[in-house]
Amino acid sequence: MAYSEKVVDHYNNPRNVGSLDKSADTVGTGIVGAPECGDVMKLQVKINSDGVIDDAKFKTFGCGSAIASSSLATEWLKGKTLDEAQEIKNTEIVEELNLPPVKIHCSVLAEDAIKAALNDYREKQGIPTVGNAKSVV
Amino acid sequence: MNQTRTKNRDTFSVFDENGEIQLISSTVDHFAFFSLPRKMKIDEGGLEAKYYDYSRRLHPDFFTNAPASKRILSLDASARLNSAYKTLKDPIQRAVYLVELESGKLEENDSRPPVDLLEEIFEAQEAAAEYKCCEDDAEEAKNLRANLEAAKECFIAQRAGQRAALADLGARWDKAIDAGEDPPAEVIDKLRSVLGLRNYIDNILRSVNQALEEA
Repeated sequence: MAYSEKVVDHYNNPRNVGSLDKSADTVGTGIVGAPECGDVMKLQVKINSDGVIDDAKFKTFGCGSAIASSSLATEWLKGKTLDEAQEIKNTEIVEELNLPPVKIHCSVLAEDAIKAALNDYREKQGIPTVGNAKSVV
Repeated sequence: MNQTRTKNRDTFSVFDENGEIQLISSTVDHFAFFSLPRKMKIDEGGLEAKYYDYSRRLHPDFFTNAPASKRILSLDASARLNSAYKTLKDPIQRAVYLVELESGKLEENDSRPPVDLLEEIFEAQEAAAEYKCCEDDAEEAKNLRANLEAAKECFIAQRAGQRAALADLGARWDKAIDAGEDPPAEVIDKLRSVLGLRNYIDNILRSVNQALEEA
């Protein structure tokens, strides 16, 4: 299967790979997995005093599409408020990366990771969490 | 999600009374194809014997001079035979197939894997990746290798635990079928969550083994 150019670009030059301090109050961490393939993805956001995401990092052990989806997600997250970040949809990732149907679950994984990271931050801050754990395609 | 299950399914036979290959409709599941009860434990020897018997009778090579309609039936039936056999001969694949037949795709599971397990897997993946690129530092390599060996043992033990749980749940499933009942919802739920974890464990063990072998 041929990957799109954008996937290859993110795969070869992943943006924002790394870790943030998981124990910091200002950092939200989401670790999620894909049961279909056993891939795991960690996505972290750091939120500043204005409620804006000023840093985002990821680490993904999985296929090219999973890496590209999470890399793209971290790019999109920076500069967004919690509410704006909450609105990122896996379908937008599919569109941007031209993911084929068999790789849609990679984008779902990235959306799940974003939501899990945001909720982790909310929990730390004592803000009510949003949505249930399972997202839909 | 139970609509695929009918109590008294019509028995299906690949060959009609004249020994001609039948059209296999998509409603015929792999168990029906081999005339097997929808159970976790099956007669594997019997399955294999039937597979070879059908293979011989269905093989497209025997139909090269037959009319197109028969050639197509032979091709379809052979393809189905192979996928049905491949799925049913392996106990794990069989369990996944049966549970999905009964209660829908595992990917639609509502329950997520425990976060602890994901974290454990994540750490082992990180260790595997680091181990692959730390050749210059003998001390660090030694430590990482010890970590990886420990992680490997741990995941192997988890896999054994899952297999034991599957055997137990499978026995309860079969008991219900033998009694003419539906498998209990609790058994289905537990099977779904155990089977939902199998790819994670297989995947991490593959990565860890690969890292240990390569270095």
